[in-house]
Amino acid sequence: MAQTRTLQRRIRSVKNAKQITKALEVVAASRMRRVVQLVEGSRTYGELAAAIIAKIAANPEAHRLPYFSPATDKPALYVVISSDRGQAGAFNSNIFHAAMQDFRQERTRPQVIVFGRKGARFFSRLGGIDLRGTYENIEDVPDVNVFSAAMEAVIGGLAEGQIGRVSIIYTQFISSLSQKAVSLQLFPANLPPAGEAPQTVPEFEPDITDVLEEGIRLYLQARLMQAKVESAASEHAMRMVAMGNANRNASDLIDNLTLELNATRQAAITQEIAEITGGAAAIAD
Amino acid sequence: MMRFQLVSAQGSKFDGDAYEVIIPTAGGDIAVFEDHMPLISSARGGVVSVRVHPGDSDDQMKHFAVNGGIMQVEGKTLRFLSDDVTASDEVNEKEAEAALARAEELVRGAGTQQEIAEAHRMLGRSRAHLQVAKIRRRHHS
Repeated sequence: MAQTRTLQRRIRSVKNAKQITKALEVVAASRMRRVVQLVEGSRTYGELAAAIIAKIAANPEAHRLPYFSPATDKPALYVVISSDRGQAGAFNSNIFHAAMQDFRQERTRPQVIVFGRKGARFFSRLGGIDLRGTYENIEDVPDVNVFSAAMEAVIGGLAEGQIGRVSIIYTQFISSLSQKAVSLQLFPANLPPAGEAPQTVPEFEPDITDVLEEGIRLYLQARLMQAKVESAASEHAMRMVAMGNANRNASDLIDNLTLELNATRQAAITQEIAEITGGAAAIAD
Repeated sequence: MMRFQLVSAQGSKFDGDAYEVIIPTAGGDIAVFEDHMPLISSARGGVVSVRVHPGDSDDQMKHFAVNGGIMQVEGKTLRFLSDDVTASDEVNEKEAEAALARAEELVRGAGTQQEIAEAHRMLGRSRAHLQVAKIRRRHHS
């Protein structure tokens, strides 16, 4: 009997776990749907901002600025977008893997700004980097103000020549079944090929530096926002899939345990009957 | 007619044909019509107004409160990008007034460089909101 109790207890605990994974799956699915609607909008914003920056960069006056010409001897700054919560499959480990791959190619100590608790923990334990800032508990689609400190670090660092390159490591949302951890170089701005000569030279008002300042701010903000929104959508998608798998696994486990329970219970009954008939036969003799 | 795209961090706020668009650029308000010369300009806080059809009267114009941003005219397309765009029907005048008062308070109390910048952003934002709310009241009451 002792063994059937253990089995019953295990079935109960797996059932509880199954309910939790089911709930997490449903929540992740609904949050994903909400965020996915915003992915498209943030991409448009990011692309338009990049297009305007490309126009500005075509101007020879802008070309020698640190935003466009690489300073290879300066350390690189990485903005890494991870999640606050786990149980999202390989979401965070993919990001860390992509980051480590980039760090290995660095000749100088990379500087890192992290969004998300999981990333904050990982990078604070990691040696060989300068952790410039960590931000936790950020909404899926945050207010733009949450990036202001990070933007300050990027724009200030570039303008003062402390950093030579800025990349952002985030999870690209391809579809609800496919997400990819990518590293995107923001500065020096990776611009569309300057092959086609600009047909029209735009006028800048009030002047190019003023326009550039606002343009760079918007470009950076747009890219950060886009990365955050896509990461949030990916996180929910991956959690949904991971929890779906966990849920199926729990069902299988319950099935197997139930079979085992039935078999042991039957064995116990058979044993008891054998003992009774054995006892009866002994008395009859 | 030209195409006007107004895009904020939260997505597109206006995308379609327009006859005239008034933009609060850093150098002053300008009205953009079809075939404007190629121009890239930064904007200050204020109201972007759109006249969709040539014959539309002023109270048929669409208004958006913006807080900074950048505009680009290229060919027959006008783009305006801003992290902070609010359509006039999303603004409540009373709330905007309260927000302006709060922002003014913040500006007075701000200590660090970042707080000052933040407070000024709030101030610009609520000023633009209030401006757009007043325009709406003028035309719809």
